[in-house]
Amino acid sequence: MITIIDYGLGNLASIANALKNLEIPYEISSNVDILKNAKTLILPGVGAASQGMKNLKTRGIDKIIIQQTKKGIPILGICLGMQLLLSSSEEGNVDCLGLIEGEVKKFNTDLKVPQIGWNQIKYQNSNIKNQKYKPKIKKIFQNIPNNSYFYFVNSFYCNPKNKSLITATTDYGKKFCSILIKKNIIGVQFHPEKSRDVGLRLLKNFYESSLSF
Amino acid sequence: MLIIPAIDIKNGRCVRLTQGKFDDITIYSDDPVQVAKGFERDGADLIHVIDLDGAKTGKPTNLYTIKNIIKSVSIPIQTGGGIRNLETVKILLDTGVSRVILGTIALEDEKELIKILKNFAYQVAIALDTKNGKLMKQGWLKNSDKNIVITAQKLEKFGVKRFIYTDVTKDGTLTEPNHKEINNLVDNVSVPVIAGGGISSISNVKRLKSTGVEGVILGKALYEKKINLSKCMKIFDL
Repeated sequence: MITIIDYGLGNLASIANALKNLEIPYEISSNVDILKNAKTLILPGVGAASQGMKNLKTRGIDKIIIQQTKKGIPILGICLGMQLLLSSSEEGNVDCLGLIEGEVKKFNTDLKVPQIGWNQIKYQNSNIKNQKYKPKIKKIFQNIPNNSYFYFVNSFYCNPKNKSLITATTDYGKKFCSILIKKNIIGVQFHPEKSRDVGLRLLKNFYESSLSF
Repeated sequence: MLIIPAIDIKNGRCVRLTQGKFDDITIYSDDPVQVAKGFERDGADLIHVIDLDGAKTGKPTNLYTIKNIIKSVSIPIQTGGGIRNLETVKILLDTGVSRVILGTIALEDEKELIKILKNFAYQVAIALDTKNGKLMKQGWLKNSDKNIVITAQKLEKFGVKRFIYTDVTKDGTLTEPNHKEINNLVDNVSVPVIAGGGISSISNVKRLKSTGVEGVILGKALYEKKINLSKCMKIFDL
């Protein structure tokens, strides 16, 4: 079962719908006891990092996420959820969960607005080959060809310190990290739940790979 | 799939034309800002704002209204109508527009288009506005005689990242979109295509979704209440 973390931000219904369509068992929870026992986590998110971290902290969920991921529980961070995994964000100058060393940065300080719509992912093959993560995680990319289009709506992007964690990049005037993976932690900048068949495939692959953790 | 409501502006007012004819006009509101706020409230992720006076004259004319819309909503705005050079593109992007829509310039001034794409490829969408398979320009008043697919493929080679398709003959008619031409376009380009023109029902939108468009633009159907925006968004949320 996938546990979608409810911390007051994020399009939980869209993700739930996607999992329902895929016939993947799921629950949505903000309860720390339930989250402590979760086998697989999704950290969704739409909005600002400062609000996100505030919400996670007031509910005590930040500590649980850190605790569980250190135990090896697989977690998929989506959009803002991915960004909160990093050390800090320029959006609101806020400290985040710190599970991945690095900063969340704004695309271009002159342009005020987000990218919105489909954009392509390009696998960083050398990083994929050299990563020491379990082969089970490679299942996430099964049947998702290079240059697949996913739905993005973001003004900020993740800049991990360890570049070898960057599994795929996307070009938006500047190449940025669209997928990062560190052992059991997966972050995607796009919204797989809004990315048609490839997005659903990614969610299905994530779930199936999580079963063997 | 994106459901994108449209606001066409003429003399500061929110209007709809039929088949692009400037003398077949219905005024829906004196206050485009309120219309934009309404769309935002209904859950829109992006609004399509066209400066009709700009399209006709070749220079943005309703910039003041567009700026007000941007100030009043927090969702992205894409805009077109009379954007004919790099300088104007810069001005609009600085104003806070998310994406500029270029029509005429893609057909008349390739050099300028390439300059714009060099700096802002990801902030540009090219409008492919057709009448019987040929691309229209200058506020849909002139026919370029250029074939849509051949032109689109050429533009893709220049680095265009996105197209917005409208069948001029269907636009504002509340009939149905030109499915055949849209299918053909989507099959022959590899970048995202947003489609509009004549959409009048949820089943039109469903069919466009299965075609593989990135988004649909809804105009008159919303103003004449043939489609309810928030209901539509709920259906196509995935």
